[in-house]
Amino acid sequence: MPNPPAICTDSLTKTFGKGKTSIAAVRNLNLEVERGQVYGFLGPNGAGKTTTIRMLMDLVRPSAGRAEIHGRNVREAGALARVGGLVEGPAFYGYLSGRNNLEVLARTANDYRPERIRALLEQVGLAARAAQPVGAYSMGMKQRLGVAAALLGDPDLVVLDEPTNGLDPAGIQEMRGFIRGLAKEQGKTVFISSHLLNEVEQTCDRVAIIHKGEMIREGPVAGLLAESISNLRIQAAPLEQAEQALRERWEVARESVPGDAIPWLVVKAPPPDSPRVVELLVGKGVRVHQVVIRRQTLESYFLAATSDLHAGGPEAAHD
Amino acid sequence: MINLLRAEWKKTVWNYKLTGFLVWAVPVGVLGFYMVMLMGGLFSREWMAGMLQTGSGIWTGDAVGAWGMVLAFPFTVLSRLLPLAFMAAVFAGEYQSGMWKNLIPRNRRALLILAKMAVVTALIAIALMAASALTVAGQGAGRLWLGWEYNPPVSGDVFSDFAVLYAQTALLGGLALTILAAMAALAAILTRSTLAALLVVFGFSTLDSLAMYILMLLARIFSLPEIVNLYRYTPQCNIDNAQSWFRTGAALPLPFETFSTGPDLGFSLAMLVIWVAGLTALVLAVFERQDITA
Ligand SMILES: Nc1ncnc2c1ncn2[C@@H]1O[C@H](COP(=O)(O)OP(=O)(O)OP(=O)(O)O)[C@@H](O)[C@H]1O
Ligand SMILES: [Mg+2]
Repeated sequence: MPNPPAICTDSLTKTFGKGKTSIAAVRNLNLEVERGQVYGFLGPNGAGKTTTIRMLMDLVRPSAGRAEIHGRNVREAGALARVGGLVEGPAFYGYLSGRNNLEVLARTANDYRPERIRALLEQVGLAARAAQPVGAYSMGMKQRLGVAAALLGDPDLVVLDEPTNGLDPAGIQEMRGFIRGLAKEQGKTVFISSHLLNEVEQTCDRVAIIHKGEMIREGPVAGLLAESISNLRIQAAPLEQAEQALRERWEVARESVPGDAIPWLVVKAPPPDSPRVVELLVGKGVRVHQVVIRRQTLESYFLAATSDLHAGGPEAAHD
Repeated sequence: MINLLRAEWKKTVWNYKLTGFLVWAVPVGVLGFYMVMLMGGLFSREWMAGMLQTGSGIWTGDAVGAWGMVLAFPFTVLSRLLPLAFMAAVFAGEYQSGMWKNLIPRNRRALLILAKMAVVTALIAIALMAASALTVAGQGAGRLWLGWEYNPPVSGDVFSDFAVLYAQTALLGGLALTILAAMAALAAILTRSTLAALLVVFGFSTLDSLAMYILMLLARIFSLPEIVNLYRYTPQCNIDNAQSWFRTGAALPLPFETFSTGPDLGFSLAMLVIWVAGLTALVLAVFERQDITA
C-alpha cells in the first residue's frame, strides 16, 4: 500500500485474566484513522480506551487481532519509530528535572537533540521550570511535560490518552488549541482519547465511541454528535399553541421545573434546527422567552446508544 | 546503543538517595574508616595499629579484598544484600515510577533490560574498584605513618602478577554481579514491586549461598549422598572454585565424600557463563511477553 492509514486495527481484542474473573477490556475493535486527522476516541470510564492505546503502543499484547501503525504491525521492531504517546497520565522520574527527564527519554530513543528539547519546553510553557525536579511539579505541569515527551521524536502520529486531565480551564483551552495546531500546522495525525463529549467535539474531525470494549458509533464529529445527543428546551407563551405548532415536526414533551413560572417544552431536535424552531414559533405568533440547548450527559447518551444496540434498532453499531 | 547506555547511566546515577545508600556507601565507608584511623592516630598509635590490622598485610591482598563483597563466602551471605537491594530497586523502580510505558515504545525491550543490567553491574564494579584503591591508599598512609612495611615491594614482576590477579578477580566479580543483576531483574519483572523483588531476590541469593549446606541436609534426609554432587552446578560453588584456582592454582577442597575437590577451572567458568546466559535469556523472555498495564 503506498500510503497506509496512520492507525488500522483488525478485530483487536484484549481479555485480562482467565476463566470466571476474566475481563474483556476490548472486543473486536476495527479502527481506521487516516493521516492528518484529529481522531477522537470517546468512551466512559472503563470503556477500554487506555487498553486500546496500550496495545497501539506495544505495551500490551492483544489477545486476538492486530494493530498496525503506518502499515506495520506494532509488534515489529521499529514500527513505533514515528509515534509519540502519552499513556494514562504522565509518569516521570521525580528526582530528575523536567529537562533531564526529556533528555533521558530522547537518548533512550537514540535521538537526543538539546535544541529540540528546549523548543518543546518553550512550546508547552515549561521553559522557566525546566531545571526543577519533576517531583515538585503540579499535576498540570506534569501533563504538559507528558505532551512534550510524546512530541520528542517529532512523530507523525501522536497518541494522547486524556491529555486535558488535571488541567485548569485555561490550560484545557490552550491544550485544545495546541492539539489542533499539531494537525493543522504541522500535519500530524492526532489520536486522542477522552470521556468528555465537548472536548472531542471541539478538537476532533472524526470520532469513535466505545462502550464496554466495543465500538458503538464511528463517523465525522459533526454528524455523529449532533444527531442524537441534544435537545432544545423552550419557554414560550401561549404554551398550548407553541406545543401544537412544534408537534407537527418534532417530538415534544412538557417539563415543569419547580420555581419556574411557565413549564418548559422539551423538543427533540438537534441544535442546528434551533433557528427553524424559533422561526416556526414566531410565525405562529408565539412569544419565545427562552431557548436552551441541553446536552445529554455522556452517560445517558451511552445508555441510549447501548439500548439501541440491544434492541437491534436501525442505528445500531455502525458495521 | 551508546545513547541508551547514557540514558540508563544518567537516571541511575542521579538517583542520589539510592546510589548513595547502596552503591557509594561502600567506597565512602572505606574512606571514612581510614580517615577515622588517621585521626585516631594523632592520639594513639596503638589504636591506629589495631585498625590497620584489619587489612591483609600486603597491598595486593588489600586491593583484591574489596571484591570480597561479592566473592568471599560466607561473608557474601550478608554483603551481597547491598548490591542486590540496589539492583532490585533499580529494576522495580521502573514499574513503580510507571516509566516503562514511556520507555518501551522508544526502544526494544531486550535492549532496555540489557542496558539496565550493564549499568547496575558497572556501577557496583566501579564502587568496588574505588574501594580497592581507597583501601590500598588508607593502608599505605597508615603504614607509612607507623613506619611499617607494605609488601610486596613494587617491581615489574610483582605488578604484572598483581594485574593478572586483579583482572581475574574482577572478571569473576563481574560474572557474580551479572548473575545477581539477572536475578534482581527477574524478581522485579515478576513482582513489579521493590519490596517483593527484594524478598524474592534475597531468597534466591541465600539459597545459592547456602546451597552446600542445603544439599548436605537433603542428602541426609533422603539418604542419597549423591545429591551433594549437584553442588558443582551452583553459582556459589563455581565462584569459590574459580577463586581457588586463581589464588592457589588448585581446585577448591570440598567436605564431601563423593566430591572432595571442585571441578576444573574451565568447567567453573563455563558454568558461570551458562548461569549468566540462562538467567539473561529468561529475563528477556519474560519481559518480552509482559503486559505493561500500570
Ligand atoms: N491490568 C488489568 N487487569 C485487569 N483488568 C484490567 C487491567 N487493565 C484494565 N483492565 C480493565 O479493562 C477495562 C478497560 O479499562 P481501561 O483502562 O482501558 O478503560 P478506559 O476507557 O481507559 O477508562 P478511564 O476513562 O477510566 O481511563 C476496565 O474494566 C478495567 O478494569
Ligand atoms: Mg483510561
